[in-house]
Amino acid sequence: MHVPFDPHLLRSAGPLQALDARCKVLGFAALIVCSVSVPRERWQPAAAFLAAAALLLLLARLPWGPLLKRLLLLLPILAAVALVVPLSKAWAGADRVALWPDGPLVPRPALLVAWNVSAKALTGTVLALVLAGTTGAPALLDAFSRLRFPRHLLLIASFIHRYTATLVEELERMRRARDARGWRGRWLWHTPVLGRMLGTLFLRSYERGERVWLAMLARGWNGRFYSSPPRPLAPHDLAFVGWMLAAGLALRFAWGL
Amino acid sequence: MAMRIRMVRGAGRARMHIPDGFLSRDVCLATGAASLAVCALASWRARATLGERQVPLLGMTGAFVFAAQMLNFPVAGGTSGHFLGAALCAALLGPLSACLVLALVLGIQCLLFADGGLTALGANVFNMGVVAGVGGWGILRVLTAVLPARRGVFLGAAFVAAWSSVVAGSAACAVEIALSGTIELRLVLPAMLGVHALIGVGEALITVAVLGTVLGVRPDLVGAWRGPAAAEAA
Repeated sequence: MHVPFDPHLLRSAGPLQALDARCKVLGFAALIVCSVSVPRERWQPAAAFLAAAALLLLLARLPWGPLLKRLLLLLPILAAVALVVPLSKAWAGADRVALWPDGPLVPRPALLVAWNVSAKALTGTVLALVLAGTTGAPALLDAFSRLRFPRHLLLIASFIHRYTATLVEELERMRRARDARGWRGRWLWHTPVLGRMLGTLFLRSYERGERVWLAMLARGWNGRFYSSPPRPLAPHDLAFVGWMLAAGLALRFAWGL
Repeated sequence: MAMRIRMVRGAGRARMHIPDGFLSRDVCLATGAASLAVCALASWRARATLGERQVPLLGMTGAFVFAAQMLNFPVAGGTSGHFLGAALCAALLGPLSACLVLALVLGIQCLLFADGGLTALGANVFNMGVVAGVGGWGILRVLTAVLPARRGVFLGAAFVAAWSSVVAGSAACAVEIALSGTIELRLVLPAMLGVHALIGVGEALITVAVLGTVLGVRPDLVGAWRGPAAAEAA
């Protein structure tokens, strides 16, 4: 079990890494929303957004290995959609096109739906990966607190983020111990073993939470996380949001409403 | 909806929530508004009633759900499903806190792991937090109110609630995909229900085993338990 946490992705090189996290959140969100709102009757806008996402991916200079691994996980669900969409009865009267010369005939609108769904899923995933990979979790959480996200929720979120890796490692140790005792889970009725493992994990993690909490209080914690204030917003941070929004709207409406 | 089918043992992990592009604008907006309303209520309640001591409990439960979702259980032969934890969360924390924790977990998965689309976040929170979490809690609550407050009965009710929560969540997911015009309901609903009826059994077995373990050691942590041990602990 491997925690696909962002530190593996994060690299300090690249122009995107230097931008303000708040502006990156807003800019990427704008681009994703524009890309998803493209109507499914056309193929060009989705392709254009995919190209824009690829461009940002190149700018981000993230390591390719983990990135490709993450993107490959999308393949099964996209393949399932591509196979199932043409089966719908809704395309009964639609004109059909061959997938390749002398290939199978597929209803044109079904092809467009499958293409749009796949392209948008890929675009959204790439953009989210670039955002997380060039920003990192602490900066993202900090950005949300500066964007006035409710503080007590952010507190819970930062607890979740902090302890997930610890718990996954604990779970991994338990799994190794289980496998060392010859467990082979093949059938559904082997599942309660995992349940007891998770029950123990829950108790351990809850008690760890209590201990951590008391330790935090003992150190004078007053309900606030302090982080060094980010550098003041520079013109290029705001320009980035403007560019992303402009690019999103331009690509969205370039082929009509 | 988390859906994970592993064809070959040892193949890569494919935990998957609804990505971007699968849902239409109207479905995104409707589910987003519903999720936002429930989460706003839960957030308001959390701020009003929970002491700051609850922060580590909610945070740790969230981290636990996050970690537990990485554990996959065998379904049959070589295929496996993975744990969701919505009904378990609801049994431990109550419906609103559970919904809040699940929403935060989904938000982190979406933003930090690109798992589940940003525009589909509302739908994912709706399926897992509102339908599976709050719905699972409702079933558990009704069953425990009707049936005698005994440990075995409670665990049986938790089994039913956990199975139903997974199946209901997957049904909601199928309906959303169909309403968006992506895949017809007659195709997507049986597929989702078929897979998740099996995954739900694994989910229910794990939920029952976890609740049994926790009830044995710290019954005060199981919010939905109204049996004799809770009175003793209090």
